This record gives sequence, C-alpha cells and structure tokens, in this order.
Amino acid sequence: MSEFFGAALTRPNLVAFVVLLLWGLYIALAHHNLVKKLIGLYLVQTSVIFFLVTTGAKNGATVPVILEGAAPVTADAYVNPLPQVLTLTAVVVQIATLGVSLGLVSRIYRRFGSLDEDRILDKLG
Amino acid sequence: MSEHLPALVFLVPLTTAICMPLVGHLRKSVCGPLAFVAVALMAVLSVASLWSIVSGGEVRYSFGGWVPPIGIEWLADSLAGVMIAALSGLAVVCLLYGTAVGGDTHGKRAVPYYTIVLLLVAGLSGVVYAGDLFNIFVFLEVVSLSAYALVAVPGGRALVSAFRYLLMGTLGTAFYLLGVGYFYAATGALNIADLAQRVPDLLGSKAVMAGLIFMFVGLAIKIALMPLHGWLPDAYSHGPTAAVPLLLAWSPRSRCSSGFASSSGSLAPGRRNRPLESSPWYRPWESSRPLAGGVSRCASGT
Amino acid sequence: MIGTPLDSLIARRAGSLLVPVLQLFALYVLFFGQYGPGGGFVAGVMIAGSLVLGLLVSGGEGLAAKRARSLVLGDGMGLLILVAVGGLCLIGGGQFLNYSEAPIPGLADASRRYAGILLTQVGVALDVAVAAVSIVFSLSSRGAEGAGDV
Repeated sequence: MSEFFGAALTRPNLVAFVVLLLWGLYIALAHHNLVKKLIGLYLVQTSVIFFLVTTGAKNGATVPVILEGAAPVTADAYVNPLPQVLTLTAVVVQIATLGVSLGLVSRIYRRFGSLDEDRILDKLG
Repeated sequence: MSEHLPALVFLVPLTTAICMPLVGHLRKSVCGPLAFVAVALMAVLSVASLWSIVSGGEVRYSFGGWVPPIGIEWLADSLAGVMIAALSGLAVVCLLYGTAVGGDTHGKRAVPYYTIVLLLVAGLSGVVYAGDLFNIFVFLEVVSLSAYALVAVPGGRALVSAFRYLLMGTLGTAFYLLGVGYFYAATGALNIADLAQRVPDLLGSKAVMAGLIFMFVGLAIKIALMPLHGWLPDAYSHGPTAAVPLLLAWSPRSRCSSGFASSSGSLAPGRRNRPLESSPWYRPWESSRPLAGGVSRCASGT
Repeated sequence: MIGTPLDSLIARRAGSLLVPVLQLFALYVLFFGQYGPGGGFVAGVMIAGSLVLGLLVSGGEGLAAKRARSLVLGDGMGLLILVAVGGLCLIGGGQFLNYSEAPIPGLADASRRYAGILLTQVGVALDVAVAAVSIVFSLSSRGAEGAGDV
C-alpha cells in the first residue's frame, strides 16, 4: 500500500487528473442545479484532456518540424504531435457539447422557469 | 470509382446537411424532399459499395492519400458494408415516414430537423467506417450531439429527457476517450488493425486493462447496457417518432461493440490477431439487430 | 445579454477600435499558420471573438449585430469549402483531400498542396467563427430560429 502511494506521489500530474475526474463526476451527479451539473461534466471532460496533454508532454523537446541544416534527427528532441492533435479535436468536441447543452438548458429554463431538478420534476408531475 | 464509394456514401448526407440551412432560407418546403433524395442516393451508393466489397474484397480508404500509421483510414469490410446498407435503408424508411406523416417534422422546425437527421446519418456512417479508435470517438460525438438535439425537438417533457441523455452520454464519451488515451499511451497506436497486433503482448499491463475497462464502461453507457440504461426509456419515448428508429438503430451499438470486440477479441487466446468481426456468425446477428429494432419501432409508431 | 448598447463612451470607443485590429490579426494568424503556430481554428475563434465584442459593445440592433446575423446565415459555408476542395481532389483522381491530385493547372505538386491546405484552413476558420457566433445568438434571449420556441 505504501509503495502504491509512493509511486503516485512521483506522478503528481496523474494525481491531479484523478482528483479532477472524481470531483467533476461528483458535481455532475450530486448537484440538483442543471448548470452545476454541466460544470461538473465540463470538469470531467477537462480532466480527460488534461490526461491526454500530460501523457504527451516531453521535457526539453521542440516542435516536430525539421529545420534546414539541423543536426541529425533524434526522436528525443521532438514532441509527438499526435496527442496534441487529439487534444485539439477533443477540445473542439467539448466546446460543441457545451454549446448544445447550454442551449438545451436555456430552453428548459424558458419552458419550466427553473433550473432546479426537483422543481422541474414537480412541474412534470 | 468503386474505391471512392466509402467516402461518397459519407459525403452525400454531410454535404446535403451543410446546404440545408441555405436551402431552407430560400424555400422551406424543399427541405424534406431534398433530405429524402440525399438519403436515397446514399442507399444506392451503399448498395453499390456492398456489391463491390462482396465481389472485390474489403476496401481501405486513406484520406488525403496518407497511409495508415500516419493518415486516417476508413475500412469498408463486409461488416461495414452490411451495416451501411441497413442503416441507409432504415434512414430512407424514416424520412419517408417523416415526410408523409409530419408532426414535428413540418413547420418552422423543418430546417433544423432535417439538418440534424442528415448529420446523424452522416455521423453514423462515419462510426461504421472509421478504422481507428479516435475517429470512432469523433463520429460518436457527432452522432451523440445530433441525437441530443433530435430528442429535444418536440419540446416540453422531451427537453428534460434530452438533458438526462446528454449528461449520461457525454460522461460515456468522456470515459471512452479516456480509454483511448490509455490505449495510445500504452501501445502508441490508434488504428484497430495495429492495436489487434500489439495489444496481445501487453495484456499484463495495467494501463491496457484500465483502458479496456474505461472504454467498456463508456460504450456501455452509450448502448444503454443494463445497469447504465437510465436515460434510454425517457429519451426514446419522448423523442420525435419519425427519428427514433434512427436513434435506436444507432449503429454505434453494433459498431462500437464490434470495434471494442476487435480490440478485445485479441483477448481470447484462440483468436489472436483475428478481430472478432471476421467470424461468420458475428455478422448477421449484429446487423440484423438495428433493422429489427427499427422496424418494430416503426410498427409501434404507426 | 445582447440588448442595449453600452452607455460608456470609453467602452464603445475602445471596442470599435479593437474590432478591426482583432480581425486583421486573425487574418495574419490564419495565413501564418502555413509557417508556424496558428491556422484556421485560432483565426476562426479570433474572428468570432471580434464579432462578439462588437455585439456586446454596440448592442443587438447595431451594425455589428446585423453583420453577425448575416454571417450566421452562411452556416456551413466553411464546410462547403472543405467539401469542395476535397471533391476537386476526387475529380482529379486522388483520394478525398489528397491535395496533390487537385486539377489546378500551372501549379507544381507542392504548391497544390499549399493551396489546398490554405483553402481548407479558410473554410475551417469560417466554420469555427460561424459556430461560435451562432452559439452566442442562440443563448441570448433574442435567439435565432429553432432555439427560441419551446
């Protein structure tokens, strides 16, 4: 058990990812306000993106473009561009989801006059 | 020509969906027929694609001419061919029903309705064809977003159902993406064929197992597997009748499970390097399910 | 949110000065994307940001609002550019988006790729801008069609 925590402490970025993920899940499932649920959802997605970024990061590496006259190419000197592309796409998807969900929430508010889940369920009967 | 069919099958509904707001601005009554023509054309192309797959073997389509390890690959194997044919046939039936019966599909919601339906169909065909895990994620999101919007079309009670669907569905796709991230971190590959080769050697790795579990949970939410199906009854009973068969036919249900199975199929010792999709019993069962579901829903809707 | 114009002179002046600068810089970022960090996504977001700034400063009835509303009508125009470029490559005999096969006469292979990527980036920028502005419109109370009715 103790070596497990020791290993976790050497990777604070992954600990941060887990904390963000669980926090977001808790907010998304436990709160009764629809906008707060969305905030939790956004936090979950952000934590996943943070995970992608943090696994793709490399110390001391540069843009994966070979400049003219550069010394022999070594893989260590360049960042793998794929995780970043995945991240960019995931961010765009996240924004699209956020737009759709906010639109939905604003329609719900106009229809039911409330954002509280219990009150909406009361009105539905 | 026949090697371009997978791309064309996808592009026909996509392009029509793009043009729909403009067309609707000029003349609203054309929208329904135009959507129907697009889907019918897609059905013809998909049957032609199925024919070319049956006669000439599977088609691998690399976008932009970049081959798989670098580029994005679409794989039109026999499973995908059957699925696409079933999907486009179902879409034809749905749009026929929608234009004939009406309800939510007419009036001032017609333009967004048909745009969303066509986007849904395009996204579904993308999920069926995509040859790597990340593109399956992207098209899953396209399908999901269209599905949330589609469920919300009738308004009122459906809005709450759509919100619940959105909450659960987005969590599902987030888990799926997390699983893909684990897979990529452990294997360095996203292409399903590459993964099927690399994963068997890495099965002892905790990262691969965690990735598998996350992907399974995410997809289980999306396909409403038993304990995670809470969103499904409301969404399907309050959504627009003419479109629910399409939601039900959600080929992610089948394709996701097949994509998942093809990566996890390598788990089974006797089946190494042989994706589950290629086994003969797998195909009719998986492809008949959306059809049967859609037909029964059509029947209950009328 | 997007209602009346702001009554602060400073905000209005600063906004109307910033908007054209932002748009010009967005164009620079768009074309610089061929050589370094930048490109369609960032440029699209910047254009959308400038339009939203104009909306916030000059209110829902001003010139900026009219301009943004007409932009929203061109919904999907960016994707149409992308599909058109890709279709041109298909006609030229290559795969979808295989720029080097686009039948543009008088261009070498590399320049064809260059032109293809540039055109698709313009499409992406347009689409991102339209999407962002239409999200703002549909969230504001005078929403666009489709989102307003319940």
